[in-house]
Amino acid sequence: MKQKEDRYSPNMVIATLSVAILCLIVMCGQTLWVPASRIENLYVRSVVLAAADSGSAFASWTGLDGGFPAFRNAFLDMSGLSRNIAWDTRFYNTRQRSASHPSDSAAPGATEPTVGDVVSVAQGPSATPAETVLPANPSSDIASIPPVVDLNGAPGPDSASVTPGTNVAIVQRPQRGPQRGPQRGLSHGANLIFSTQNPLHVFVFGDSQVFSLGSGLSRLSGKDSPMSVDFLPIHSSGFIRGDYFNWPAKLDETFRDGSYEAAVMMLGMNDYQSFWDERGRILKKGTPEWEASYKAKCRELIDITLASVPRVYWLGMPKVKNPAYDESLAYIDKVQRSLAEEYSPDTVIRISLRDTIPGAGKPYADNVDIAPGKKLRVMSDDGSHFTVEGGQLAMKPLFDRLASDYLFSEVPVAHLPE
Amino acid sequence: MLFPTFSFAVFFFAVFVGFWYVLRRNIERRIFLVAASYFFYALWDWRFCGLLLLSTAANYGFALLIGGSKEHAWRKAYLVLSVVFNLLLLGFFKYYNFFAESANGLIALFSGPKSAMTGAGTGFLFPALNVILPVGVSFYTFKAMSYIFDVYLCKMQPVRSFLDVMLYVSFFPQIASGPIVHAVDFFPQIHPSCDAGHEPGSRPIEFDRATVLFLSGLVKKMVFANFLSTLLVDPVFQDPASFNTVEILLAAIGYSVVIYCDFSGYSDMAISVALLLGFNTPANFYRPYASFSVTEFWKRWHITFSSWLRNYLYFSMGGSRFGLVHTLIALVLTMMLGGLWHGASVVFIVWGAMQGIALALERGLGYGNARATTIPRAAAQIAGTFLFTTVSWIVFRSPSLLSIGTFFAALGNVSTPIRLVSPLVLILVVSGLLMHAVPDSFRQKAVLAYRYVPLAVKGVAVALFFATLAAVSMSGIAPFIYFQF
Repeated sequence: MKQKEDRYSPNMVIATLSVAILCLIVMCGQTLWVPASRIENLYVRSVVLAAADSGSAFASWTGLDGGFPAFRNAFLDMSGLSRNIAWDTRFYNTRQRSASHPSDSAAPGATEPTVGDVVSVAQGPSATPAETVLPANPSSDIASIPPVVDLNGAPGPDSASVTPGTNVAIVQRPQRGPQRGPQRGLSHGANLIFSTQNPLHVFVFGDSQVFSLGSGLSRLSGKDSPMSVDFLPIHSSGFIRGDYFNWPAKLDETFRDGSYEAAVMMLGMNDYQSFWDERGRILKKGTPEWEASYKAKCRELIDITLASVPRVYWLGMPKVKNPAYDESLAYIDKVQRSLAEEYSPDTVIRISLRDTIPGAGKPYADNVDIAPGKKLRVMSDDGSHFTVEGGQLAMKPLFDRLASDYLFSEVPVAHLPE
Repeated sequence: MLFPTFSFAVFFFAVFVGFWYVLRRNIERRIFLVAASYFFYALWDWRFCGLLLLSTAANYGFALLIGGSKEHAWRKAYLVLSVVFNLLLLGFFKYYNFFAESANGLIALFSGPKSAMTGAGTGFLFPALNVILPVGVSFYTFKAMSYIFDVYLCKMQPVRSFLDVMLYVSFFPQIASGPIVHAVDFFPQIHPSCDAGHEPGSRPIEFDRATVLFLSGLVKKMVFANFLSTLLVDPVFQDPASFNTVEILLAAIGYSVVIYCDFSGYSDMAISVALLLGFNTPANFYRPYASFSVTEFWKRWHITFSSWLRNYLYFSMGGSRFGLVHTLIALVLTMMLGGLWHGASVVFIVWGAMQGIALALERGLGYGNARATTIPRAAAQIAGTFLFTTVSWIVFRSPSLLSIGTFFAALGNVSTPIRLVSPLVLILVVSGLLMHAVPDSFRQKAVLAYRYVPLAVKGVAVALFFATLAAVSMSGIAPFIYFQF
């Protein structure tokens, strides 16, 4: 018999690859966006992501796209890798670097997170925020300042106001303290007194929004602050799809040494999607089953965090430009809020981003007025991510809440964007 | 841009379409391949494209000078000049800090540590420079030197076309991490490959071989190398004192699997990519852990590099022409320089010396030329060679001489609890070794059988492969080990 030749024309190669790509789209539709999200060039990435979305829709229509994600989950569980932090976060930086965020360019120091690890932004002169000094006692002598915490738990305004035209933020004298009650982990850090020398260590984690929100909080607290901010943004991650990024394992590892006193969580931007549960059932988004399963996933993360820090500050979903996307985020926000209500309000503290930017009940806006005739660009070109300055402004209520919830020997100063 | 990435897939698709469909003339294709190769290289660091061009231009000129000289003395003089140029280039970027530190250490030894630190009284100290190592500089410099040597040794005529020399030195599938294809093997392919595919019905692409190589390379890298590095080898080598004897032993064997799968996986993919453009690349690995002697190991491991050392270094030192003692010295020196090629570190020199001494011993004892005829004795030979190779990899992997001692000292940690050994790790280590035991006849039959599969089914099979790989592999890709060399 004549031996078959191992040579093909370019047409045959292209035809074979086309068959392979088509089959791959059908089999892996749910994860097509993952490699596409790693493309650095924003424009190319948008085009490829749009193509990936069409592929995903087609795969979803065939109903064959769930098999491999389920297979992956089964493999991770069977091999014990699902709880092995070294397995998936080790080389995450490779993806992280290339998966740039629209606001990256505006976030010096925040664009190159390392090894799936925490980013700590050193505030330098480049940040040039308007330093806003409060009418508070400048002395750092603990004995000389009025009590900053009301241990009786009297609710107080955790607000600050921006004086138009001056960029002066006024942090109200903190009147709110940690609640007593059946809160877990409250002993760690809750009653310590923090200062510049011994700052409150805040860990901000979540999806790509954390690039700007983490940088924003870091800038807001400024250099030589009694608050030290570290943040870990994992692009495209969420509460669901633990096969993409294993947040429970990462948080377990991060909080193990007890080096943080407060945690700030921002997840949910990528969660409005159906997913497969542990028993292999497809949970359709928006159904009660989906909500129950979604809450369980959120609860797992919150509980892991609360085992190590006294309070979790849970950031709500932002207002985004695309109406359909905004609607889905509003739904996610509602589900998350209802879960947060199951916890003590002083343990899991829900912070609304929508109420700050653009403001409660207001429509989406790219810019906000920070002074008469002066606008600040708060949203990036994609209409869903904050700019770093936007993140700085959006984190103001959180900053104030942190300032009131913890004891400080010197009043934290908010540095708002100019 | 690494081979197993989406970016590379997009880049290569564009190159494939441009090469086979858009450009039809030989000259256009050559220009296109050079442009694509420089673009590929610039994605790492565009600043080093100038260095690449400088190396190409200088070696192009040296080759013309050597080829154009009829007197042996002039040919030799140009050869020496070219070698000095290439070694200076390589030496500055790769070894400057190593030599500066070593030289300053010597100065300190002779003039006293205090004066060496302050510079007082010594007159001169080498300044420490933050020299960035250009990706692939060792590989393309050795390729360029191969061209010079092949012209000098009259294996080929100097190439008149600067474009062809540019293509040889910068050819993107080989630039980052080899294989170090010798000039005499590459240049004759340029014109046939760039002329191919014009006739109706022509079939210029060895697609089946390319597919099998690429997929096997992916499995080696994405599954074996990535998993074992992450789950076992890296944690143990970072802090051997914290691990049990069993983990230390398994990590040592695991590293043998990792370095093989990482580098041979890369080589397989590089060969495959070149094949899709019609270029044939010699094999770089051939079941190295099935070797029955160190001599045989070096005929199977990083073959393009070992043949470079043999053809251009060992033979230049006289090879085996001047008696046994001279041969043994040449062997040890060759391997020590081969060790130094991997990086500016004492451990690489020690590793090279180990290889050289082993080769010299085998040569002196007349061992290593024939496999034992009985299975138990052949197995013992293979096991002994593997043991030596594994020990030498421990040296190779260790960051310093001190840490080599720490690693071996940790073999006594019998009471430390075992944490890293899991069924998955054991399966990977054992299968990584067993892949060397698959006979050639089986591989050939499997590839032959694959050829008979209809193209459409092959497409589905490739899709299934990638989907499965995506399901079991990590989100990211560990850097290839040999990129650092």
